[in-house]
Amino acid sequence: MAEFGYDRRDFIRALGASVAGIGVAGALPTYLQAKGTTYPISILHTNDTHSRIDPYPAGSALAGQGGVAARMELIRSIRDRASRSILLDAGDFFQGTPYFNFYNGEVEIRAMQQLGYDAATLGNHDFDGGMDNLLLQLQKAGFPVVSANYRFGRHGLAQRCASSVILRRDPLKIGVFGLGIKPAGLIPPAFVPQLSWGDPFEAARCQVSCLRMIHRCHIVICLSHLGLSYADERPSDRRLALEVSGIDLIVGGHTHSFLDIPEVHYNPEGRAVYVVQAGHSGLRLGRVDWEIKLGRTTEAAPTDASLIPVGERLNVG
Amino acid sequence: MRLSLLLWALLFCWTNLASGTNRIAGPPYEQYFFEQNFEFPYPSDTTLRKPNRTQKASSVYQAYNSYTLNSDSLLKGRVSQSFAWVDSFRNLQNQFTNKPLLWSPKALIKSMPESELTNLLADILLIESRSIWDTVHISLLNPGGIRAEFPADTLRLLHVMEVLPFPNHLDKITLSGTELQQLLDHWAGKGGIALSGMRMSIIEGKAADVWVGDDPLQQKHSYHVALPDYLVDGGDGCSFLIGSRVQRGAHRITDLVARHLETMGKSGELLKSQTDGRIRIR
Repeated sequence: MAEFGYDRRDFIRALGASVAGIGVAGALPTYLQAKGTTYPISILHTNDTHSRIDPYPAGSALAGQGGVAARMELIRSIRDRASRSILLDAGDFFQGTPYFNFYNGEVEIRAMQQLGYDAATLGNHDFDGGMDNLLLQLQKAGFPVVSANYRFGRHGLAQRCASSVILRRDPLKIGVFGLGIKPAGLIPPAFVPQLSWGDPFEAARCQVSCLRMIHRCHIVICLSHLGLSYADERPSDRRLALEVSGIDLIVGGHTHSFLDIPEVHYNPEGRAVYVVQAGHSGLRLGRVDWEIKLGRTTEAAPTDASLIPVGERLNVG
Repeated sequence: MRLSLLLWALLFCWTNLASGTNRIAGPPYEQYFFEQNFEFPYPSDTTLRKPNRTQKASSVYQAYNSYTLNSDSLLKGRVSQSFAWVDSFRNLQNQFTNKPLLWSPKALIKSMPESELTNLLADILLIESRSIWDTVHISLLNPGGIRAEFPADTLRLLHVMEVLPFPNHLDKITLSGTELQQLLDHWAGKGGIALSGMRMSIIEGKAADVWVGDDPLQQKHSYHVALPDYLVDGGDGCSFLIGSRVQRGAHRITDLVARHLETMGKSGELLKSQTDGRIRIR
């Protein structure tokens, strides 16, 4: 990760800081902090799976890697051991293999349903079959789809998609909201006549205050398809982390970045925000373990994070 | 109250039984598919503009409901068994996508500013576009539309569809020399593009030293450029192309490339491509 200026040490240092408690909690004496019980939760995530239902075919440089069956096995083994877990997808589950060209996304959605996704957001390629097709396919699955800055007008997607969802893993409440990338220049306008896009940072502030203040979520996760970062001023995950307070974890997508170690940024309140992204095509399953202490104050901090390779790795180089 | 409960129970049993018999004794999906006689988008000689997506999806959905587990997938073990239903989808599409096209002795991988894969695809598109329209000077293909690589193996329709998954059509636009320069500058700023019929250098993110065919780029000359309709409609930051003089083509890029490779394979050719310095970075 030298290219971004992050390495494992930064992450570990941030872990230390957040476990000790930054801000109000950190200022309290130890005997006041000591009360409360700690609850672990594993957050599993993928992004840009791009219709990769089967592993990469023989002859490819990535032969044998990826595939929903191997991902299922991995998720199952993690779920067997972890006391609480949620599975999230940051968009672009459509387009990439003939499965999409032939079945318009039915296979992908059914596979996601079977893998047990708890929430997903929409990427630009999810509109590749048009809005009607997206709705038709999403109706075949039950998992919530979140997007806070897309508006669908009078289209049926407005009923299928929500701004945010609250996942309950007793006794924890996890608020998840979604952000989508600006469609102009990415999605042909003819495909998305009723789609309108709002400022993602405004939407994020709105969702965070709602999830924190009204619903009292213990952690707030942003499912973002904005992309990790850009040379210009386009909204990105890094900008989101630096400019909007109240988000604990940003699960990113769109730029197909393999973030082996989460990026750590500090929001305007001075709290750590972790940005994760699991490459593309289901080659990795991202995992972030959190410990949430419920007591006089809620303290949430990750204890470990990794990208787990999915499927056989035939040519380890 | 009791009567209604009894009725509900009966209804519940009846629906369960009905759906159960349907799943077990229903016609196999292949039969269903051929009876319905609906068309898949690939491969076809006349792929016209408006595929009726909804109709296809619902037909396949019905085919899905009548799938049956085959014994092969049951032998694969616990995990594969849970995704056994994918087999029916895979088998059906493999009837089309396993069609062999030609032998590729070498894996072709996309890279910037030019690579064997991008050059090959642009060359094919130039040849194919010249068979559609009389004069075409240049062909362009945005690198974002190339999503995979060609393996060192028998190339099948599957590989072409994975490399070019988008249902974009090939259009021809007419640009003046200045407009072409603007287009090339845009892509030079992004690090490169798949192109054929010309060569250029990238100097500080701008296209320079542009040669179209055997002549240098002239500002007042008009050039015919074949490129995906995605770019013509302003995709990938090419909003300046909206409103330019365009001739819409009726063929999908994926189809054109697959058909070209198939013809090459039938005449006994191998897949070969090379980087020839058509884009240099200075």
